[in-house]
Amino acid sequence: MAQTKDIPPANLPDQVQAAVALGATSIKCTKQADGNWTLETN
Amino acid sequence: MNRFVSILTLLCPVLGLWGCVAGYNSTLFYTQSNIGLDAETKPPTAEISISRREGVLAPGFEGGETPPVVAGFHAEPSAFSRFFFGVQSTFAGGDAAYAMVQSPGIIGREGASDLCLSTKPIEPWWSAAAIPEKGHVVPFAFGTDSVFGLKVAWTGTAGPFPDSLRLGFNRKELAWAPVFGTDTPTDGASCTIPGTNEHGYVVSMPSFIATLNAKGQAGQSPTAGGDSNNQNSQSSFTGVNVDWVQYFATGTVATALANNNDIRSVLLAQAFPAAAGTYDPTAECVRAWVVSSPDHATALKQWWASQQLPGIPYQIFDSQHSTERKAFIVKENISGCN
Repeated sequence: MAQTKDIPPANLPDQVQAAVALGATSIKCTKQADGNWTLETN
Repeated sequence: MNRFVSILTLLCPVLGLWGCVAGYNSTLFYTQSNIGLDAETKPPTAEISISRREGVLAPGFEGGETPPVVAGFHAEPSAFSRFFFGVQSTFAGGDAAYAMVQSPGIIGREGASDLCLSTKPIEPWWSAAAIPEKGHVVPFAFGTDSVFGLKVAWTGTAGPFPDSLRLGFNRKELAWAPVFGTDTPTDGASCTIPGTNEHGYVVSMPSFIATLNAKGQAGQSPTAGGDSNNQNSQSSFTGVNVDWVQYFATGTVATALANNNDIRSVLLAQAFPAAAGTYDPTAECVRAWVVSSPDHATALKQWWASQQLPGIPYQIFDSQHSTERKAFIVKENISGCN
């Protein structure tokens, strides 16, 4: 399990795409208070 | 704690009469958690702390096998200052315990926690302690007690003073689960003695689970307003928001509940916290290269494994893994990513 913080909204789709390409079995995106995103992947 | 001991004292002879002897043919599993103030007069104790007690008395079989149980407790780092906010607790046994510790997406099936022994355990001298088999009915006790906030109890024996006072978060979990045995499992359990075609002796315990996930925050405290000069001049308190989720289940429902990723994540987040990283914009070049071809993604996964790096390959895009990323760029000779 890995967690990446402070992902700008514009870059979130690319990060999800990369996680899928690397075989992530689950992805969880959480919006931070500052508008950026945190992505958790397994 | 006083009442906890009282419950045990009450349960012991009752269950003992039914033939439940913890450590032989049943498993006694308990936890007690306290955050804040816990004061009692019998015995006179007072705790202002974060305390946690855990215990299990279970039969141990050949090869060190024992019916599985699991418990987890997590308090937010500043839980004491905020008293009862941010507390997570899990308590499970049998198939539910097995399912709880599986990775997300992996199903813990019914019977997964069954123990396969090469022979039936020798009966103890006290026949009441023998493992019940087909046809027997044995009581199964399971309960939790949660206090959130202030609880004051009087029995009158201490005059005008209360017998117990609890402020904050207090939770007790107790299970006294019978252990069953059979040499002819009917639920499709596979138990064959290695090297032979003979069936072994299957020992199982009921599935049970209790979880609690409490999160709280002090609303918008305090919210500042502004006057005509745009200077903060007033404030308002919008209260306390509490998100309290509690589950309690036994049998197949408990196992199914433990297979739910949201339920399971309560424990896994405590036991295996996610490796935290920070987004690094300079990694975009490598990310674009990886997603441009399945072969590139495979190359990264293989390289990550060959370097015996902890975590998962995705972490190479984090700012904390810039060194590994540079090494990968050199290895793959990725143009334009320096």
